[in-house]
Amino acid sequence: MDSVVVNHIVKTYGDVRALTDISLTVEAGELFGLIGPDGAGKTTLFRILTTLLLPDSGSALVCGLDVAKDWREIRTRVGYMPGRFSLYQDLSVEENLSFFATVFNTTVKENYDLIRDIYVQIEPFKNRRAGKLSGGMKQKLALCCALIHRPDVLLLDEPTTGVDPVSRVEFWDMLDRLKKQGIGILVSTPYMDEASRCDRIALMRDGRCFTTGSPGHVCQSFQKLVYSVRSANMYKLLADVRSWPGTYACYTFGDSHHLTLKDDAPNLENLETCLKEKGHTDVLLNPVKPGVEDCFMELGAN
Amino acid sequence: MHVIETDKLTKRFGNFTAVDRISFRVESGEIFGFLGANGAGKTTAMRMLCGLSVPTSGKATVAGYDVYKKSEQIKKHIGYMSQKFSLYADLKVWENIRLFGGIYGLSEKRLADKTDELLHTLNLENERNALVGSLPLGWKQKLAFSVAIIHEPAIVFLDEPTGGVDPVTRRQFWELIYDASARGITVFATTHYMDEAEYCNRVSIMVDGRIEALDKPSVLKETYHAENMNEVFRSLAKKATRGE
Repeated sequence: MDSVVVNHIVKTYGDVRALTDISLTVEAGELFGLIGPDGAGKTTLFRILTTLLLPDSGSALVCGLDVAKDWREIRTRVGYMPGRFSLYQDLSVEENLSFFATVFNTTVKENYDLIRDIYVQIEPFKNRRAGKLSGGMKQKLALCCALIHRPDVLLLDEPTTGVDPVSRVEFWDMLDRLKKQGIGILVSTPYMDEASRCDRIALMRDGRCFTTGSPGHVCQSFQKLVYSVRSANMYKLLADVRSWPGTYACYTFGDSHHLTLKDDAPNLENLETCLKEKGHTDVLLNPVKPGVEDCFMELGAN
Repeated sequence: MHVIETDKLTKRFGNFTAVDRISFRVESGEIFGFLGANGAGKTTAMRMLCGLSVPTSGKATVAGYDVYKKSEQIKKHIGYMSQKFSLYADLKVWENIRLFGGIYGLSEKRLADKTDELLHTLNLENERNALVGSLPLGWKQKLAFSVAIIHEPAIVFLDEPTGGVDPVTRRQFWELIYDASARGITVFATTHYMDEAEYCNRVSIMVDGRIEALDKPSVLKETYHAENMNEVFRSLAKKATRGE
């Protein structure tokens, strides 16, 4: 059975269209990523799937149960990590965990095997108040609390936002282990580089889902060739590449700029000559494979 | 002149040494990336440099002012913005500019000119009377940055300014940073996006309260035999031994 099925969901707040015709499916044991910035509608979708909001139209099933009718049952079957840290700041690590176990009518002991790998990392601080934990540790505790009743589906709203790159990698490693136990996971993130950790992704922006598929498939669907451009003066290079007539778009990408061309662009030797005339040295121009971030930025352009 | 100069700057809370004898300099007009894992001590260090927290020991000057004796002068000569707090959501765009400009002591005339200039540069002329809370996050952050440097400070501190911002706006934000730096404003920024670390002139990486590495991104990549700054960061942050 599919973990999550979303059919043509629409949600508006007054004049604001938060979600426009969203459809997607998360299979059991699948790690599905919603990739998009603030304001894309990700949190609204999570709130509908956790039965905290009703859609205006369309339907959704979680563990085969209807979000509008079977809300009581769904709430016992999902583990939810809201975007905002929502544990009790003035309870200790251990107290938070046993509180959530009690709410779901179970004990920490009963489901300890599911959280062991994660909990051992924060156990040395089990008497510390949750509010005194750092970002990475808060996320680990929140994940333990979301798992303690052995849910069939995990819904994680931006679990890695504001978390440093090392803790982020650790967090995704944990999700990998959880999906192998058959848990379907829907996770949202504004970090484009995390898309590669998902089985499938949907690119979301302004309440719409654009491309859906495996990260590789999404990148293959990118229509344009992408080149990386470098020179000794990267800041000046950006303006100079943008002013070249053949440039469709040019954006910074870490230590290089990514360039896409207009259909009628002159050949690249012309660009190289142009750049040298403008005083650039050490010019390097190479084709590169587009990544999820290239694809996402193209959505913005359209 | 060095806009920031620290010598064995230290902050202890009880037995816990949050910042452990950090010594570094930031040059005028430089874009300086201040990186570190959660809990490495970045926020504590930044609070000392902004004159908000008195060090336990060591020395530091910011914009030429001593952090122990001249913290009020420091506050006048720096700008600050963070992801969490930047502008008042229930004030209009022009009201926010007026409020911060007023706090920084700009004259009426200068404020009026600055307001027009700023709205024009950011392409926000039609949003002059909009409530800041109604703007998309990316616009808000660009506005917050421009407001943070409205008084042309010697240095601006940016604490994760681009978290959650969409990829295109994130890049436009960095173009504003480059422009400010070209005008001579020093930029001191933290970020969790490692591609942004590449945009800095120099980068420091804090581990367990100490600065473990400090150099140009290209030199750091060579030193740590790394393809990119993400790998540099990970190989250093893994050395952390203290609990977060």
